[in-house]
Amino acid sequence: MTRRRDPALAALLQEAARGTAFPETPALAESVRERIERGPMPVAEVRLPRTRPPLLRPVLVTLLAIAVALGVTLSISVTARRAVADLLGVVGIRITFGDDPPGSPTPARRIRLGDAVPRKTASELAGFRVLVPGAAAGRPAIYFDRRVGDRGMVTVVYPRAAETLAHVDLLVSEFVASLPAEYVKKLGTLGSRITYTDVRGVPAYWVSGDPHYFFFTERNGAVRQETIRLAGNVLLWEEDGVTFRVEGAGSLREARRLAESLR
Amino acid sequence: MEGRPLEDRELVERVKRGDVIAYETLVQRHQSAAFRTAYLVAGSANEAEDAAQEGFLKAFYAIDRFRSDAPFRPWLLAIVANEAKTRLRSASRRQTLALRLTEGRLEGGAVPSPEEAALARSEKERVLEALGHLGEDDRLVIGYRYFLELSEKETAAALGVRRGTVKSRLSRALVRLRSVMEEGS
Repeated sequence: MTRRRDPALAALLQEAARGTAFPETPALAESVRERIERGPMPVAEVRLPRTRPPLLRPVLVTLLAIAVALGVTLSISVTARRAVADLLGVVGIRITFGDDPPGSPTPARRIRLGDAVPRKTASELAGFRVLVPGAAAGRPAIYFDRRVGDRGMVTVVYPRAAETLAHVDLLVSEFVASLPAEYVKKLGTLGSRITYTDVRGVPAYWVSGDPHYFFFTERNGAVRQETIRLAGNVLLWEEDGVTFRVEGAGSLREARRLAESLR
Repeated sequence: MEGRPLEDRELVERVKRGDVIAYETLVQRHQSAAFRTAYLVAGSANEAEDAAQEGFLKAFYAIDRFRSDAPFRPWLLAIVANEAKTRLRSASRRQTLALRLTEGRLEGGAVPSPEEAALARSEKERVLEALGHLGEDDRLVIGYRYFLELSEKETAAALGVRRGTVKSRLSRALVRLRSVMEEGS
């Protein structure tokens, strides 16, 4: 396309711009402050669209996808339960947070993790080499859930009963995303305790206490929320654009041992 | 109590130390630019409001990564524009922007004849209508320069490009704008 100067058009634009009636700017300060004070819950706070059916709202769909992926029985804090329940109540869907089955050892939960796939397939689908902790006992099952993150999430599972996933001991999740330190830091204001540590020299976070969720950003900059699925603490870190999450390790020391054995 | 309004840089420093009220001041100061930026992309007041609000939240949570010596407004507008674009793409739709003129008088001291006034108004309406049919990137670069009156440097920061790229993008956008106007006439 030929580039040429068009001063008449520039002048016309200037005049038009001065006389343009934009819609009135809404007062955002108070609502932004209220949302900040309630904590980083950008997904749960999305308002219903006024021009489209609510279920089409993409962010809402993302949350629903995560909720479905996690199954209907979640292990999350009371605060997070209420936030998710409030949101889903808005669109007329209820999720029941069930108790542990009688006699079930904690942290057993029924969790849907996507499709069981061979490790090689998981790597191809996710777009990175899936790592497995060499220090973990037993043979893992590997699942791929395309609904989490922008490339899908791989979860390496060490269940007591792989066929039902009823007694999960250890989950290692891996997905393409970044884990901005400031989001992790903000969890500290929401009741979680953050211990700063490292995995092979890479900064890592040991998150304990409520609420049991965290935030990450996709490559397009979108902020997403993820729920921590097993009761107890979680080790989070990001390495080469992949976010790792170890759940189910009994202690920080054990979590780091498992993390550093990822091969 | 300080006698002068705090500059953005000072407010940002306070926000980094956890001062939410300071952030509220920043929101008040820049909400109009943020909303208009989102509106130029989204073409809908409702979507623009949501995008601007989400943009402010994301900026708050990312404030630690923001260099305090950089201008806050272009950085914020980049986040808001990105949010508006993401929403538009997620909804798989293209929104035509509909801008209209105020009922105000013409610029300048001279009093135009009714015919001149009508002609001038018609020309401006035509350029606004054509603008609404441009792609979001063209709308943004024109919008930043003419509607939000950002400097070239600020526009470059808001678009995440060099100043030279702003010139070339703007030039191409104006060529396309002229072309749409001619097609419509």
